[in-house]
Amino acid sequence: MNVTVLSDVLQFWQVAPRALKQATARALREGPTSLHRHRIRKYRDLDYEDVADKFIKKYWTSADANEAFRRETIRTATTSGNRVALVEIPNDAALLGLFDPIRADCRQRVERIVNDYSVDYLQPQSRSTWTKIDFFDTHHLSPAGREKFASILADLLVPLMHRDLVAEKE
Amino acid sequence: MDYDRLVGADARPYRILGWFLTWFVLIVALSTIAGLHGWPWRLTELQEYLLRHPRDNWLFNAFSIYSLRESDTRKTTNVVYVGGSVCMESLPSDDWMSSTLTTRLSTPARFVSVCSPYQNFADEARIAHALGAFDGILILGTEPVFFSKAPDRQFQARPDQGSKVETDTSTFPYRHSCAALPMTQG
Repeated sequence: MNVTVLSDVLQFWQVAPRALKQATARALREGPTSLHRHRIRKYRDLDYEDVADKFIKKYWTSADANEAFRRETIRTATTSGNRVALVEIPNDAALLGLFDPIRADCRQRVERIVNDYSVDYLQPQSRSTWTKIDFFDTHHLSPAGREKFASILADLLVPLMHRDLVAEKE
Repeated sequence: MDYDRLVGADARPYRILGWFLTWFVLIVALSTIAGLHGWPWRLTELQEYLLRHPRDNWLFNAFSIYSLRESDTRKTTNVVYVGGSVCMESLPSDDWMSSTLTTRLSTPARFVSVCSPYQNFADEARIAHALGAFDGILILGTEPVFFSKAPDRQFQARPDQGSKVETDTSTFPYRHSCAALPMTQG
């Protein structure tokens, strides 16, 4: 390899991360615009029944292992002295029915975890009406839904944090 | 071959040919090696991933975890939100959440979101392990579709390790290959 080629290769390795960094910064600067355009294109023609079917099929083979990992996470966090709260991610109310076969089982699992470890369970779903306008698909939130969710989450978190502060003072 | 002539001005076409051939061979060789390892696709995926989810990468996570570990967490009330794409895209910036919580609590509060890059529960377990004690509340997203995810598709234990994965949290920020919890899959 001659010197020219070597220097070109070295220059490439200097430039490539910079280009990636610039592209990432641009995506950050543009914010949700490019991401949302991508999401809208991706989910516009989605067959939600088909998607739900796939989720449901995978659920029955993965749920046990996932529950074990979820328990492990909570054990790890509580052992370190941290508190844990589970948050239910909101869903498009009109599409919730598609997940009925697994929702009951999932809720039971979550309730078992909540009871076993005495963790808090935050449920923004019941705190507002969630419609199609709040989502790109069944569960990825649009900017409108995101604002709603963030505000509700803050509402739900404040009492928990306040409780912690009071407990610390006592 | 007349070497005297080759090193003179008349050698220019040969030099150009040599330069072209060097690059050609180099590109073909590198592409072949990289292609065998799936690099072009992985690189594209990575770029795509970073562009789509700028907050959702290990550099951001490592920075968040590091800042939590290094700072005096006793002075603030901390909330760490761990989740996948749904959780990350569902929230505004950490600064917005932090200032909102600070205002509502009338005491310094910090909100840090950490994304599980593979968006599964096993990954979140590892993040919790890396976080260690931060004296605050850990928020975990929970929803049926999350339970449907392949539980550990990126970190499968080798057969000789049984159900256990190598544990090494001494390196920080931790690497994909070594950061793992000894755990038994259900």
